Amino acid sequence: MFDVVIVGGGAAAAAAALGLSGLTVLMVDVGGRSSLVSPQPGSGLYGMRQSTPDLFDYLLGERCQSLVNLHGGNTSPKLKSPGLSFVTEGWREFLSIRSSGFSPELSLAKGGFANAWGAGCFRYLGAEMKGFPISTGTLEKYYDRLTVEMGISGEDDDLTPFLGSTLGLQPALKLNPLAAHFLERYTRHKGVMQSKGYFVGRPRLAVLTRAHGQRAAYDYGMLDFFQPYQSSVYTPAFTIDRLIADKRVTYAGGHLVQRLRETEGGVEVFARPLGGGGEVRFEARKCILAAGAIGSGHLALRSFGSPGESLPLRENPTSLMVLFDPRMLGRAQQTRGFGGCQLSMIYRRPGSEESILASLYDLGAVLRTDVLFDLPLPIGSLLPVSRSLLSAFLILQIFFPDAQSRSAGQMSLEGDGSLNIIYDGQHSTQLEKRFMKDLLRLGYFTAPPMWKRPPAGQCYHYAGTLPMRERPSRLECWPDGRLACCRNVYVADAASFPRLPSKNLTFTSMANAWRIAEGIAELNP
Amino acid sequence: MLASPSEFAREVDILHRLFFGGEPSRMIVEQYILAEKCFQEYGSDAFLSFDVCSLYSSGVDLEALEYYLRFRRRRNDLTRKVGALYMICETKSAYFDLFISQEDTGFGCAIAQLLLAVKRAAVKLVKGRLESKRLGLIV
Repeated sequence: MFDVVIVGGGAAAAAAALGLSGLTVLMVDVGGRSSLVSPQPGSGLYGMRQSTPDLFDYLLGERCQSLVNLHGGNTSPKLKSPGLSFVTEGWREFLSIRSSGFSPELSLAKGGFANAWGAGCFRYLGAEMKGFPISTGTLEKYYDRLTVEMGISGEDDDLTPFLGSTLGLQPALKLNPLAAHFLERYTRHKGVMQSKGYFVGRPRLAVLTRAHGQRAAYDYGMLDFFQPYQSSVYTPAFTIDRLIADKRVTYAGGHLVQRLRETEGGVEVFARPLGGGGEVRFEARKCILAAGAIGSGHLALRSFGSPGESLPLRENPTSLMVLFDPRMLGRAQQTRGFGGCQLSMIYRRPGSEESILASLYDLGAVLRTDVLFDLPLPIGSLLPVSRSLLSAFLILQIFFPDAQSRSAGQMSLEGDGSLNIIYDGQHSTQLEKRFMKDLLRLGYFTAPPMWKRPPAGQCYHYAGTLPMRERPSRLECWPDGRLACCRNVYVADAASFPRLPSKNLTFTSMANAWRIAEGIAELNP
Repeated sequence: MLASPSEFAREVDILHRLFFGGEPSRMIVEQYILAEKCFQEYGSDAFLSFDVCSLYSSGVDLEALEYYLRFRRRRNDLTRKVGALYMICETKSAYFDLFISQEDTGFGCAIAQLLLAVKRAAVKLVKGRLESKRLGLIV
C-alpha cells in the first residue's frame, strides 16, 4: 500500500508531491500531453512565419482547431492553438456538466491548466488572506521554496509592497516597446497615479531569464501562444517528470478517478483506465485531492455527498480593455520579444484594503486574424491599416475578486452523475469607467465598445468548492486540509480556498498544497 | 449550405481574387476546403448562411455586405469564410509582408491611412446596408 495517493496531475498535485519526501507516493492522473514541436526551433514566431512556406499545421492545426472562434466558439487564443489545445481536450467525453451562466473548462493534461497559463506568480498578502484560517506567514517559506523550484523572474519596484518578497527572483524579462512606453508614462506621472491608487511594475512570472538547471532562459521568440513545453516557461509537468525520474512518485497516467472510499486503514481510489478495461482500484493510507476545484469538488460529492447537497463555486470574473496609444501609430512590428504579460498594474482605491490586479499585454504574439475583424473597418482596409495600427494597441486584463460574502456559483450532482453548475455573477463597469478616465492622463484612449467581458468560467481561476474553515462542516476542510467528513482525505488544490482575491491563485494553491502535504508527511503514516 | 469541394474551391477563388488579388494557390484551396468541412462537422449552426458564388455572380458588393453584417450579425457565413481565408493566408510566408510591417511607416502616414480608411468605411457601410435590404436580410 502507498503512503499517499494524489488524485490529479496539475499545479497543486506537483507541489503536494514535493512536500511528501520520504513517503511512497502514487499519482493517479489522466495525463494528456502534446507532441507538437516547432518546425524551426530557435527561429521564433516571426522568423518561422517569414521563412517557412506553410505553417498551417503548426499555427492552425490539421483539424483546424484554431478556427474554433470563427466557427462560433469563444476560446482563448492560447487554448485554441494546436500546440496547446491538448490542455482542455477530451474532458467532455468523460464528464457531463450542465451549466447556467457559466462556461467551464477542465484540464486532464499532465501539468493541468498551467501548461497554458500566463505564468503569473503572486503571493497572497494581508487582506487577501481574509477568510482563510491560515495567515500569509504560514505560506511564506513555501512561496520561497517554489520560487527556487519553478524559477521566477521579476523586479523590486513599485509593486513590491503588493507582491511581497523579492527573495530568489531572477531579473525581469525585457519589455516590449509598447509596455516600455507605458511604464515610462506611468513613471513620469507617478505621483498623481499613485495618489489615485495605481501602481505599475513588473509582474512576477515563472519565466526564466537565466538558465535554471537543465532549463534554458527565454529566447524572446514569442511562441507563447503556440509552443508547448518551452523549457523557459514553467509547467508543473516539469516537476512531475523530475519526481518520476527520481523515483519519488509512481505515476499512474491514463486513469480517470471516479470515486473514493475510506477504509479502516486508509483510502481506496477507484479509477477508469482510459485505454479500456474495467475499473481499477488503488489504495493508500492517505489521499490528497488535487484535481482542480471543479474536479475535486465533483469527486467529494460523488464519494461523500448526500443527495441534493451542493457546493459553492468561486471564480475571478475578468474584463478585457483595449487601450490605444496614438503615439505608437505607424511603428514596425517587433519580431522578437516576450509574448506574455508585460506589466502588472495594482489598483487599490485609497482607503481600501482590497487590491485589484490587472495585466498588460501587447498583440505581438497572436495571429493578426484573431483581432483583425474586431476593427471597425471593411475587409479591404483591414490589412493595410492594421499593419500600422495594431502596434499601438495594448490589452489590459482586469481580474476581479469574487464576492466575499457569498459565492456566485453553486455546484451539485444530478441523479445521472452529471454536474450542474449555476452561476449568478453580477458586474458593473464602474472600474472600467474609472480606468478609462485615469489612463487618459497617461495618454491612453479606450471606450466601452473596446471592452469585453468573457463569459463566467473563461478566466479558468476556479476555487472554493471545499473551503477551509476554522470549524468546517461536512464537505469543508480543516486548516490542515483534511476533509471534515473524512479521516484520511485531504484537499490540496484551490477547492480549499474560502475566497478568491484578484491575484492569480496558482502560486498560492501550490504553496498551500506543499504545506498540507508536509503536514501529512509529519504525521508519518 | 454549400457541400461540394468544387463549390468551395470556386468560392475561395472569388474571395481570394477580391481581397488578395490573383488566384489562390492549390494549397490554400485545399486548406479552405478542409476548414469548411471542419465547420460543417463541428461548427455552430446559428450562422446566417450565404451562397457566396451566387451573390458574387449577381453583382453584390461582398465587401460592403460583409462589413455591414459584421457589426449587425457577427455570426454570418460571409465573415466566417473571409476570416478563415485570412487565417489560412496568414500561415504562409508569401503573405507575411501583407500582415506584418517590418518598417516604421511614420505617425503622419498612419494617420492619413486611417482617415482614408474611415471615409471608405462610411461609404461601404451605407452600401452594405443597401445590399442587405436588397437581399431581404433581416438584421
